[in-house]
Amino acid sequence: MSELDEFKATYFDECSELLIELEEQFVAIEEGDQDTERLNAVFRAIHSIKGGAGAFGFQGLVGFAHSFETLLDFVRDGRVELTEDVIKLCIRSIDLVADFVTAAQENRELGADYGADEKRQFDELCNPDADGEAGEEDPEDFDIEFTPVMVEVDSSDADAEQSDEFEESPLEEDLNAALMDNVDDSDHEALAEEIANADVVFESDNPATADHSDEESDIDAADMGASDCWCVVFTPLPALYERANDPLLLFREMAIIGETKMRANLREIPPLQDFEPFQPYCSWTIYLKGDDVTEERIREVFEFVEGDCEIEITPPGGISEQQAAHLVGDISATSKVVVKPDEMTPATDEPAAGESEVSFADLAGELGVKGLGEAEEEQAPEASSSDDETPSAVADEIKQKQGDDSMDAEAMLSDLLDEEEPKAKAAPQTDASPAAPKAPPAAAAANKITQSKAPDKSPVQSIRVDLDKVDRVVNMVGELVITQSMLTQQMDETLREKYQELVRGIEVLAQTTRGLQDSVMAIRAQPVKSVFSRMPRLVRELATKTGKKIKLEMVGEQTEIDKTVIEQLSDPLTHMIRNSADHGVESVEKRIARGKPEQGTIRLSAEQAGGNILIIVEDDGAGINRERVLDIARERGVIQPEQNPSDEQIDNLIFAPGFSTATEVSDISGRGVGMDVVLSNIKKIGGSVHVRSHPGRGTRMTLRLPLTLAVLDVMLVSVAGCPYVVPLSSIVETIQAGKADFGKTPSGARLLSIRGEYVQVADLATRFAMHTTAEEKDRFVVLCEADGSSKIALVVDEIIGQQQVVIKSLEENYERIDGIAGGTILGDGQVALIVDVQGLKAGPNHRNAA
Amino acid sequence: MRVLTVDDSRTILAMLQHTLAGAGYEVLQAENGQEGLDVLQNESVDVVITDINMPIMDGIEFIKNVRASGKHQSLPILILTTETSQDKRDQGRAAGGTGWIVKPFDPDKLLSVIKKVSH
Repeated sequence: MSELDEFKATYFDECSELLIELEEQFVAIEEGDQDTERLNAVFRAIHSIKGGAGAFGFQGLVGFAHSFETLLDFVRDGRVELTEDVIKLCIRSIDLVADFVTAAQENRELGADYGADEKRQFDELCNPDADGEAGEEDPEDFDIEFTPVMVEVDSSDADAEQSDEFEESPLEEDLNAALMDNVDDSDHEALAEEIANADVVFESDNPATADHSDEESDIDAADMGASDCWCVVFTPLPALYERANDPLLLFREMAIIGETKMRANLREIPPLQDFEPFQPYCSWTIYLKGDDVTEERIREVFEFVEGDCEIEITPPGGISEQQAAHLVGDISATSKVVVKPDEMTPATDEPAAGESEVSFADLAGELGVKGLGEAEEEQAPEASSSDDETPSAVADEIKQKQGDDSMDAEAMLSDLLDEEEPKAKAAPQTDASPAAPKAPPAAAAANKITQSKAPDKSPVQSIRVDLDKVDRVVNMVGELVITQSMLTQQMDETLREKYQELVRGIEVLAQTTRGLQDSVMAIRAQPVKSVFSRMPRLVRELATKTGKKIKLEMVGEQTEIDKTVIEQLSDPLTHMIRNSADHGVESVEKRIARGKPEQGTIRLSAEQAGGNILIIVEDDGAGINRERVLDIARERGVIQPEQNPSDEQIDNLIFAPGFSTATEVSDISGRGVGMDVVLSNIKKIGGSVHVRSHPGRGTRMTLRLPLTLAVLDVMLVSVAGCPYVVPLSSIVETIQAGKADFGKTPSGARLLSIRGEYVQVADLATRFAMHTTAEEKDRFVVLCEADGSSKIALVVDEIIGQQQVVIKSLEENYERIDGIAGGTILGDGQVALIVDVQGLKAGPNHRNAA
Repeated sequence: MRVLTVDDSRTILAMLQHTLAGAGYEVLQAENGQEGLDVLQNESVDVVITDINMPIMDGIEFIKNVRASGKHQSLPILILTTETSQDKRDQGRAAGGTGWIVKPFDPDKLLSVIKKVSH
């Protein structure tokens, strides 16, 4: 299975759970419980379905779920009233969502207009004034493309290539003069002022020019070539830091789209003792140059901080050389930020460690350089006052560093932040900085935990396992069971006497194998609740459609059955309930006339009975109209005119192929298929159906299902030298044929009289067209119970013994054969066919039988 | 780098896990905000990716709680949501969300956004 398929499998699993939850929630909502949390839950369920659908590109589902979700959103915050109609619309829409999910699962496309009507209703509800376009906003495009590059902030060895490229610095005088000529350029006045007021740090390409003297300083914009340079003035607001955005990271992004040079305005930085870590004291002017730079790309960098900062973007040519030149006058300290993508190293590596090791004093010193260095006359008093209040070491540092012009604005700022908010800021970097106080616990935790959920709080622990894996175990255990039974078969009397220890070992093996098998089967078992839970709604819908009053009682929802059986159960059960509601329960008038309560009851129950699960659908309706059933059966050739079936047989005729009692195909049960579909579905999973009806009092339909599909307890018999197996669960007793009391009906069918009861006889040799050489008196009769109470006597040549077999599907490996339920491989490698007792019993209906 | 993923959808968690683990991240998972807080209490995490609509504690509350804890003011938190309407995203940001990822996410984009907000 590819990764994508695995995700899809997870998704479809999740969808079916969510759909069940949706059903349950809406049942409660329909019953009047419109709790906010319930509404939130249904919203979330649809939201999750949509989310996953989007991931796999199930567009139809996304579109529908989106509109549905929008409606639910409107409902939960009260913009749309949850009327009965809206609830009905929602319930119907859950089905549509389920259809979309199923289609996606089966790689099918539903028509483009599938669910269009509901969608239109959603849109109308959410946006009554508009023309059906509500909720159709396009998901925002999310295009940030760049390759992973890291940033290295260069502080000393200026980058030669870059400085070459930017070697076009106009003379300061020229720029100043030019600026004077153009002071009234109102468009750029603000920017110019901003730049002019900026206090300082900017790029110097050449350390040699790193001088405080105005004359020798280089200028960012001018240096970059003001005419082809984008200018971004970036002023963070407090919210930017509160949301854990970091200017440093934004600069890193900027450096990816082009070459950057920047200057930081540090004027607002207060004396250290007044410093608040989350206050935005700095602003920056970034000059950006590159072929791919567009305003859009710049905006993308600032996507997450939009509204949390002020940004002014000026395209190339927007800053006049004059304005750029104006900067020169204010510059008295220079530093540089050179970011070169190809030299970038992971930020979590050494730089982080290095940064966190910078001492507070260092920082203060650097800060002094940056913040106070250039505008001596203005800033000096502040600087000295800060000196007075900070430790002398800091003051010394500041003085020492005053001359150090080759500073790095980014590094400085990040250092500053790191130190000022060690708890918060340092946290992400602790991995890389062993010196940081938090590192050891973090590292320890990292070793301890790889991937995990939050510490478990619920008492019942569970893991999710791929069904394939479970089935592999089931299969292996099945084979083990066969091997074990083969070993047991090999034990003849001489061996038993000779190797008593071996025999005991094999007995223990048998027990253990049995235990193992039960345990494995338990893994596959699931409560029938998942199927039952869909039924209340079905009954309510049916009641609405038919105008009847029906209540549904459910018992034994926790009964567990094999997952595969459960999956196959939904359709037959739905059909049976439909049948009960449609044909069983009478209309209110009729019920009153018959002295019954006006509300009919359908009772759905599940219980375990030995190796079987019984699922019973019972109604207190009119019961089966046997006369009509018989008429129809005869009319349609389901039975021969001369046959006179018992009441019970008549009842069970409703499962015969091609039989439908509905005079007109009703909207509900008559969907072109009859109850025969129920029978064939149930038989597919090794089950049986039995109907018992009491005219005027109701009908009871019993599904008998195997606990598991994998292993079957059987009686091994032989017919004409070929092994056959008969499911043990259906065997009542075995009788020697010579002692049995056979008779014949006038029509020639063989009967067996047993304790006064006549039982239909099926000679397997005749039935399967085989030639047996066994003498009649030596043959055996296996008396089986086909379903409920009717019996059939199978005549076989020999009874070999009991054992367990692993069922192999005949249909998958060959094709369907009437009278055969499947195949199995015996311990000695022989193939044995599993006799379909019920199929044989229903013989006359299976005209294709050999 | 450790990424905490918080989402009530197993599908999304699995896809995040796959993409992130494939890119060398260590992935922690939580199914709702409350579980997310529990993880943060005990583990150090570099980036958080959280869904908005979750039972027990939704993403907005989760982010608020993370920020209010005092311990994680600078922890990048990405809001993972199919919400296309601006108001949900704004709520997430107002609560302290660093950025967002729109579902369905392209793995490359997911990784690039994580890089964009992480140190």
